[in-house]
Amino acid sequence: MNRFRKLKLITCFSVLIVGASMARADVVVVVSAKSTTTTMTPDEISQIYLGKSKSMKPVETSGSPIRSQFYSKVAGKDEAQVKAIWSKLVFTGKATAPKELATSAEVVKAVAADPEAIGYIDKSAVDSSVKVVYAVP
Amino acid sequence: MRNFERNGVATAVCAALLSAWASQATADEGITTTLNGYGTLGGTFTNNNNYVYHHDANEFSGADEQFDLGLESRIGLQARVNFGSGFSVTAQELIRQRGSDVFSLGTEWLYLQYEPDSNWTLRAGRVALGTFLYSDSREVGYAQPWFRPPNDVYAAESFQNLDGGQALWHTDLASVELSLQASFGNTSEQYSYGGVLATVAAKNAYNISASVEYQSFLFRVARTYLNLPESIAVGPGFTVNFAEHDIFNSVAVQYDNGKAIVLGEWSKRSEKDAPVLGQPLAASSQWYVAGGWRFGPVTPLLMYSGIKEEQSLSYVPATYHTFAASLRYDVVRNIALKAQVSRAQAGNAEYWVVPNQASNERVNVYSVGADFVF
Repeated sequence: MNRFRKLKLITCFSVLIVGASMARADVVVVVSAKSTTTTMTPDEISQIYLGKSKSMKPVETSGSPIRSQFYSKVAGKDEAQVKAIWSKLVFTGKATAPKELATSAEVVKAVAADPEAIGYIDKSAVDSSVKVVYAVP
Repeated sequence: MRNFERNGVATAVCAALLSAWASQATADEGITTTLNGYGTLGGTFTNNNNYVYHHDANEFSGADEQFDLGLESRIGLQARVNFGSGFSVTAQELIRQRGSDVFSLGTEWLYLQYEPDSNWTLRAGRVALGTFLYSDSREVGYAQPWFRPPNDVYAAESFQNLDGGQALWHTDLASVELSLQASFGNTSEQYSYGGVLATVAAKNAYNISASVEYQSFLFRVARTYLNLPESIAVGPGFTVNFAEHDIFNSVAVQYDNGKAIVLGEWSKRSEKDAPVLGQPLAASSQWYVAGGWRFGPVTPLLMYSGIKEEQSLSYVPATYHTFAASLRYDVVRNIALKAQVSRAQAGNAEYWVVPNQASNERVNVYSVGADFVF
C-alpha cells in the first residue's frame, strides 16, 4: 500500500466517522401518559438505568445507535461500562437488567401500558400514549 | 463424602438449569425465567519454578513457569425464576478448578427470594458471603476493572457462600443510595496449607455490611465473623480443642466517574488467643490501592497491595507487598481481553502453595485472558 492510498483510506474513514456522528438521533425519555411524573433529571434517569434505583421499571431498545447516545449523554458511560455494572448487579442477584425490546414503537407500547415503566426512544416515535420527561441533549 | 453430596446437588441444579435453558425464557402464566452466564478463559505463569502461585488456599495446585490454563478459566450459569408477587428462585452454577487440577461443578448460590417492597429483599438458601467489596462477584471477571483482584486482600478469606439466610435493605434519597446487608449461616471448604489438606467448617458465621453511594463515590464497611472449631495437637496424646473466632473488619472506598477509577480496601483480621497456646491462630491486616483511566475501550490500572502478618500460630511478624499492572480492552460487546502482571513477595501462605517466608524473594506472575458475559 503506497502512502497516497493510505491517505485516501484515512480520509475515507474520517468522513465515515464524522458522518456517523452527524447522523445522531434526537433521543427522548418517556413515561406513560397515565404516570404522575412530569419531568426528570439526568441523575434520576441514570440511577434507574444503572440499577441504583428501583423506583421505576426501565425498558430499552436493543438497537445500538440510540442506546450508546443515551448512556453517554445521560450517565456519562459507554456501553461496555454499563454492561460491566449490570453484570455485577445481575450475578449478585441485586437487580434484573432493563427489558430489551426490538424497536422504539415497542418501547412506546410497553411504557404506555405501565405507569411505573420508563423508556428512551427516537423523538419521532413519540405519540399521545406517552409523555416526554427529559430530552437527551 | 460431604464433597460428593455437594457435587450431587450441583449436578442436579445444573441439569435443571440446562432444561430451563432449552425452554429459553418462556413465560407461563406470569412465571418468567431469566438465564445469564459469565466466564473467563485465561492462563497464568510465573518467572520462578521454586514457587507455586494460586488464588487462595482453596486451590491445592497452581502456576509456575509453565503456562497454566486451569487456574483462571471458569464458566458460570445463572437462572432466575420469577414467580410474581415478589417471589423468585435464583441458582448459580460454576465450573472451575477446585482442589487439585480437576474442574468440577459447584453451586455458588441457590436461594428463594422474597421482595415485600422495593426496599427489602429476603433470601433463604445458599447465599453469597460478601467479606470484601468484590467478594460476591469475585468469579465474574467481566464486572471487574482488573484481571484478578489483589491477592493480599482477597486471599485472606476465601469462603464464598453461606448456607442460611440473607436480608438486604436498600433506599435512594435524592442522589444518595444506602444499602445494608446481613447474612448468616454455615459453610465448609477444603483447604490446603503448605500441601496439607483439611476440611474447614464454619458454624454460625455472619456478615454485615453497609454501603453508601453518592454520584461517583462508594463507601463500604463490612464485618465477617466465622466460628471455626479447631483441634491442634500440641504433643503426644495432648490436643487443644477450641473455637476459632475469625473476624474480618473491612473498609472500602471507590471513585468511578466513567473515566477515572480509583479504589482501595483495608481489612483487619483478628482472633482471640487460643487456650493453652496463648496466641491467635492467625492475625493480619491487608490493604490495596488501585487507580486507572479509561482511554475509550482500553483501561490500564495500577495496583499496590500489602499484607502485614502479626505474631500468631500461623504467622511470624512480616509484611509482604505486591505491585501489579493490568490492562482491560473491551474488544466487542460482552467480551473484555485482559492482561495482568504482578510482582509479589512470595512469603504469604494464603496465595503461594509453597511460600518461603525467609527469602522474601520477588516473583513475577503473568496472566492473560478473556472475560465474557452472555
